[in-house]
Amino acid sequence: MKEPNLDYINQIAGGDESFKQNITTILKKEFPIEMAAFYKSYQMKDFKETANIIHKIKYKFSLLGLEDDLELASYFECEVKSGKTELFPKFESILEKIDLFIKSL
Amino acid sequence: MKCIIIDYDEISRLIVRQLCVNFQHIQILKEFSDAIDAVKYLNDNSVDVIFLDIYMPTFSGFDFIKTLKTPPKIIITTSDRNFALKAFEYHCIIDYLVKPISKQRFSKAIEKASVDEEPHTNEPKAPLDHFEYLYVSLDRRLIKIDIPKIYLVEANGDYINIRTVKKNYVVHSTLKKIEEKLPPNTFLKVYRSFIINISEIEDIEDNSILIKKRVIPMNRGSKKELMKRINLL
Repeated sequence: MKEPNLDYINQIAGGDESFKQNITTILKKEFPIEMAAFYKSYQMKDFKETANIIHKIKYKFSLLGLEDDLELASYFECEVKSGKTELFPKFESILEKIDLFIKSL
Repeated sequence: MKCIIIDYDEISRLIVRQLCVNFQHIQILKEFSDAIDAVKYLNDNSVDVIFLDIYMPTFSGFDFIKTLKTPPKIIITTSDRNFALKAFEYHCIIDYLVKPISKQRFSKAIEKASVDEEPHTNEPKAPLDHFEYLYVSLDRRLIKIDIPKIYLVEANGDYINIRTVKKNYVVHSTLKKIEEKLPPNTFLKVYRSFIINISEIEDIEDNSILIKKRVIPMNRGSKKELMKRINLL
């Protein structure tokens, strides 16, 4: 399983440390909020809102170099829209992996 | 080149701004997290290029384009590949960038944007029948289907069966959605559950059509429409 990384952010930053710092700050601020919102809407079976949150979160997967996980999130987003949740355990494990990584930044 | 960025996601806006740093002729005038605010801004200000996300909570990127009488050049920036075909129906959309956007890909988009062209309209570029292919999502892959080879599409609950001579594709979609993607001069919805390829019709009876050994029911309205479209002696 691929681990999250900042390769893409570093490439775009091109040595601009303030840009990197801004991105890190936003990730640290937004990710825990989005993760909590995801679990809340998921538990309430508000699948429309859950799909919206997945859509927002999945972009962070790609930012952190997790292309395969992005693909899974896209399928989970579609699945949730139709009220199915088979991919939930896999999606959850990605969230936990990213959460740990962001906390380490 | 005067630009604005419209994207609900703050990180995305930062990244586009950072990517623009490498181009001296680009001036980012303003960023918007809400397309409605951008509409108001554009009432009083003109820009050359808009970097536009599609998926936004209150107002989609496509809805936004429809509000502009003479839209500037638009570069779509999205994490969704699924809207690419729809995007290219618009004259004003000059490129479609899938996030995360690489520097190289962004440079190409800027090259396109920097070329002087006639003003754009928000009208569709060409009828959809100019597309020869349709991409459908199947087993986590996007499968290309040759549109002229489709002879029948039938609704089947939450799915549609797209039938070609070689293969039958079962896709999670609706008849209404695929109808919008098929060229209207070739395809016709003849009944609640069927869209047929007119050129594949073998036989027409009172209220039914024979197509690849399948008898398809046809309602009166469809028959009238069909009669207008076939080469009748």
